[in-house]
Amino acid sequence: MSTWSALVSTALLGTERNRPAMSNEGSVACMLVRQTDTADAETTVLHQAAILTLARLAGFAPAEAELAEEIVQAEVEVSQRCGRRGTGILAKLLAEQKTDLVMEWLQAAQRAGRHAAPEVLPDLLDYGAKHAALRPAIAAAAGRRGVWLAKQNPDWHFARTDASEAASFTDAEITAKWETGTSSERRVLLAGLRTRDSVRGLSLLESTWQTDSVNDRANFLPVLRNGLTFADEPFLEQALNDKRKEVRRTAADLLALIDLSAHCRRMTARVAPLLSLRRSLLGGEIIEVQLPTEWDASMGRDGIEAKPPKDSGYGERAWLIRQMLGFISPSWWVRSFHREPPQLLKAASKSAEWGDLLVAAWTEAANRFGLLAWKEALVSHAVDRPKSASKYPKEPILPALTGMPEERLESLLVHLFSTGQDAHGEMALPMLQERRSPWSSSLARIVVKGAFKTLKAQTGYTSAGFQAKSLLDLAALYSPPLLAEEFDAAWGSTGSKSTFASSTVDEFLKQILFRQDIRTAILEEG
Amino acid sequence: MLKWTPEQIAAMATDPSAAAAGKALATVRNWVTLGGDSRALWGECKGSGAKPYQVQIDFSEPAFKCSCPSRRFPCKHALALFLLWAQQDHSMPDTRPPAWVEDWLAKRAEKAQSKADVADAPHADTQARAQAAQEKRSADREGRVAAGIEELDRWLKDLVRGGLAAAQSRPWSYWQDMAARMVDAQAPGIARQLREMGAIPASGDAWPGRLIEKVSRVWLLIEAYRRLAVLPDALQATIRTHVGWTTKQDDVLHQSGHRAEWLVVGRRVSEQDKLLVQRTWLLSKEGSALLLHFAMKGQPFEVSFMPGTVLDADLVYFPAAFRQRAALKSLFGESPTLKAIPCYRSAEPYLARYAADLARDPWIVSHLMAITGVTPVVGEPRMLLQDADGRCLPLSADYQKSWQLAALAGGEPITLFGEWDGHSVSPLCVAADGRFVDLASGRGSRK
Repeated sequence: MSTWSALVSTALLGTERNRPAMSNEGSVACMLVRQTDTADAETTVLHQAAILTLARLAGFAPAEAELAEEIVQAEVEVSQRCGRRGTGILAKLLAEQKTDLVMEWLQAAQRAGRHAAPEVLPDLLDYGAKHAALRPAIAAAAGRRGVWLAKQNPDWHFARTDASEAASFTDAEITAKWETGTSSERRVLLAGLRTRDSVRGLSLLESTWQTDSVNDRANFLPVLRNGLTFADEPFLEQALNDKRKEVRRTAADLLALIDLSAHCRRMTARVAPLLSLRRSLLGGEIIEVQLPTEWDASMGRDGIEAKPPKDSGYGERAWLIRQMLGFISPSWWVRSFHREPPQLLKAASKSAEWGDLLVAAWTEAANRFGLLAWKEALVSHAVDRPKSASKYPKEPILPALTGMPEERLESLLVHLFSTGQDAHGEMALPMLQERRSPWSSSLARIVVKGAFKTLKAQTGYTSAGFQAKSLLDLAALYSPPLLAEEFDAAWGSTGSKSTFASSTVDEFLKQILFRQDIRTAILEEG
Repeated sequence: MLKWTPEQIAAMATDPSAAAAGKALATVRNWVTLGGDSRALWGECKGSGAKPYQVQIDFSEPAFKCSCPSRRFPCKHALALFLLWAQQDHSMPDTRPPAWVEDWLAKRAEKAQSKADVADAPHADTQARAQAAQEKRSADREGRVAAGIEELDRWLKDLVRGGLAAAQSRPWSYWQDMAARMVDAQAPGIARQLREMGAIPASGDAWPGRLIEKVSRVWLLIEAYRRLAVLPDALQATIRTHVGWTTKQDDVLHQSGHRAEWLVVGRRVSEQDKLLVQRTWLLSKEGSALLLHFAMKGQPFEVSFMPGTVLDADLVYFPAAFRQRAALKSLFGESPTLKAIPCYRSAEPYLARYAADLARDPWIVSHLMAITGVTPVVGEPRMLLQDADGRCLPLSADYQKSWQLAALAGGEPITLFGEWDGHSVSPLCVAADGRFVDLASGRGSRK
């Protein structure tokens, strides 16, 4: 035991029970310690402690680095670092958790060809760990230094350039990594492998499927969506018998996507006899719907639930057909009825009883299969329909807008605003909220000027006023910032007496100017 | 350059309505031009007339000037300009001041000079009387401190007799009460160390070693104070400072100073006895210096210097065996460049310097480490700094920005300025990537 640790243990136990120990270490300090001999044990301990404390502080010997661990250096950045003020703005946005503006900053940096300064990277990567949607933008703005950091901290692995790294692995390395990696590392590995070699990915997953935990199974299975082919069918068909509901459900979702899978054939066989296209008595065509008889276990195995969710508005048998239709590609109906999506939607809406059900089911199916023609038809259908609430309050009124051509969406929105049938934006608002991408100048002008008009006409707090505020909140985020002056002038010439209106507009103008400032700041030197 | 919070700025308004009016104007779109540098801010604010108001702020007091007819001082335009700057993270587009600003600044500098020339000599008689009273107070204090120290000596021995393990189960008040008695005995420096001791038993691994270290250094201070009379003057001053005597800054400023180019290498603000303490570390070819500034919570410091700034200044050290704390006698300006930063090239010579300084003042708590060629390396459980010789210095467990540090270095050697406490370093600032980056983290709160 060293002199110091002997002394610490004496002090810990107390001199009442324990006499100060002497050691035979040869250092000067220890020799001094041995010379201390005072009247009482307490003074001796304090005296020795003082000598050793100072000897330890003055004699601090730094450890030698382990040679095995060679320091890996970050690659040299290829882009330019953004300036001090831009960095300060980003740090502040991260601290205040302004996700939309963080995104704005990242996109502006990318457009300007700049990367974030290193001192802000840990906070930025932490933010990405919490907000998955920002990860690609963060990884792009974090530069080479970001990749270097991400390799050293498991929380930041999303910013690694893993795909390229995994590509260079040998087969044996992949197997070893799959068998020893953590759950999230394995998921990343599988996802990368599936995009390059989906068969090998499947066999990797199968190799440990029986022994993997239920959580891992539920976690890995959705990754098969990458590079999904008919070769995956037998495995997925097996997974329909899994103990865990999430696994069964994912398997059904994936099987639905495999063209001509047994699952698809079972599903269409159930529904085909129930839908028919007839000539309506009032002219035009109508789709008639018969309800299935009752739920059975084979439906359950294919991912169809027996009971409708609470307050969904569906009866039990209506819910069965609604789910079945959601699993079938809508183009199947185009082929079997020889009609285009708009015609089918028109025929569906003729049915007062089942029109909303068909639209809701096709909306889900259009999202599932990513069918743009159907999405467009559904959006037009929703836009043209007179305002009437769906029977099913939980169903979305619009399909997911991802993948839809920007120009088409813009023209729909412009149409909505200019015809005045959606004066306060009830329909446009959800579309704009979902879209989350920059607006063209013409869309920004029409939305902002419409909102200004509403605000000027309102006195006090009205629902139309709040709709206008919601539109301006979006406009503040997505309008081209170059329009700021034009908007300022448009509002400034007349203004409003209402404090609600003027504070709403002030906030809007402040925000849009701030976005302009982000762009300027990122380009500054220093 | 000082940092101001919007609250502090609003507090300068003559009344709340002026503050509100200032706040309303504090958005970029009310301004035609805006600019600023390290001395001043300026801008032209849109008013009701055709010509915008010319608004300017000189940081030195701060002083305000505006071309508007308002009788309020500062007017809403000046407040707005100040607020705008504070809201934008204390930065403005860095431009050259226009002529109207230059004129005003030059006039102010002239006035300040003539004021300084009029030296005011206090009356000799009152001075003598004040000195007598001062001596009486000082003698009383010596007595109280001596008595307090004897009491502390008994208390420390009891602590060691009963064992530190027993101290772990003692309530917080056990340490607090003794600290309060030391405050009564006019030894606030010792009181502070007792309060710090109270936190150690709950500070995790290896706490007994840390506690005995602190206890033994306080005991050493007692021993030293008892022998004060036989020790050299400089060491006496060191001991008195650690016990809690303070030397008035004005007394120090009478002496002649060291004029040099001082590089600001770190700034840390911490809370101590309900006060905010700002520690500013300076470095020149001759050595290092520490400036202390105090402020009430919510108030600004008299001055703050941004790390990386080079000051052409005259400093006077406070009397001590190891001279570290200094007062700023005069500031001639900010020099644009410092040719070379005086740094240690590896851990070993720095640690030798630290040991030599410790021999002069065994109670040093933090010592400026200025070292170049160190590489932050991710290690378990903490990050390490590896020097050019392959030796590793640990980072303080309290330090919260180790990842920022690693990010700035990217595996390459950097120049680092930090506070060394004998076991670990708490970084203040680094020179990497061709610039200075402030990386001080607040002390005391663990992540």
